[in-house]
Amino acid sequence: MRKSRPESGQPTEQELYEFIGEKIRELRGKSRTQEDLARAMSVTPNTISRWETAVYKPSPAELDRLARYFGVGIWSFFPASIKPPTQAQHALLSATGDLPAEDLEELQRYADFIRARKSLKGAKGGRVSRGKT
Amino acid sequence: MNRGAYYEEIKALARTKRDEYSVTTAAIGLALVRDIYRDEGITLTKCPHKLRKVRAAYFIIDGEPHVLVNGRLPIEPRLFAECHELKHHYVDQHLARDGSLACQDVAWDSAPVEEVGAEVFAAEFIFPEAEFRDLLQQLGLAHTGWTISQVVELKRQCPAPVSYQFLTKRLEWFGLIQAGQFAGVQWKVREEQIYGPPLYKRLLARRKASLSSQGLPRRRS
Repeated sequence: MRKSRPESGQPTEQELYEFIGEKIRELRGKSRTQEDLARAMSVTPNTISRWETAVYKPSPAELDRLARYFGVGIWSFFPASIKPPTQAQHALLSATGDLPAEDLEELQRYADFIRARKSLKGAKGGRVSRGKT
Repeated sequence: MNRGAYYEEIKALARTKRDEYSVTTAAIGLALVRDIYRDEGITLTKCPHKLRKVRAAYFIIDGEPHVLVNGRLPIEPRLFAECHELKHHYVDQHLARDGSLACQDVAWDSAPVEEVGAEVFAAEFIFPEAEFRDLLQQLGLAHTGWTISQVVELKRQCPAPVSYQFLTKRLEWFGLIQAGQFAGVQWKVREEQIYGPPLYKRLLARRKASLSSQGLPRRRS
């Protein structure tokens, strides 16, 4: 029987990857098969299946690619208990003109990626901590 | 402090940092700047995704400095952008921490003094003004009335890895050319017209000619 999704508190590494697996399955939905997703991610369908059952652990870079493919933020794959409060990332920029929305989104994605990577790294050493802002 | 004094202070900081890291104009490049980033504890990431206008961005994420640089930039602008972000690391960390200058607030037309200061820092760090003046003297180019071919000649003689944009901005700053005097010039095209195609293009052309003479299809790149 599958373990229940952690609703509160800090999940363990296994709980975290089970949550991620469920989220991948949920986002894939019924309209896309594991083969479709595998093709888009350039991995085998077996890998998708194992991500969804938390046998394999997707890397932060793979989560980022999944997030881009599904058109969501990387934090969509994390339980609410470890998501940092929503806040725009501050940055000092060198730009060649007024910033288009997609550039701002890319900068936010980068900051989210760094924090998510840290959370996954932290999960290996014990309980996951909430990302700071 | 007025802007002029601030920029002079920033230039002095750039020279100090050059001395601290034993940077010489002829040796400066991406590898050297990467080493400085490592020493400063800054995580440098080349963005694999498309950034339309951003050259680079400095972040403090969970208390740690990060720089995201546009991976599609050619070497010279990328070096400049990485040096630009170094200034933010040395001087403006508090702005990135407390968010008083957020990305939503930045508009190029009204570039804040911190951003212009970072441009000044990068220019001085890569190629100090004093060395630039010396080069102009050596080449006998310390005069007004510049032509396109003289700028091309300056670029070829320049020991620093800087772009044509850098050189023309400097010449403008020194009052040797008028603002926008060379706007719209296709420098690489003009350079090829004067000096011929660069080595890599000649080798590529030779390879193509060799393949077609053997009746072999050209490999798609």
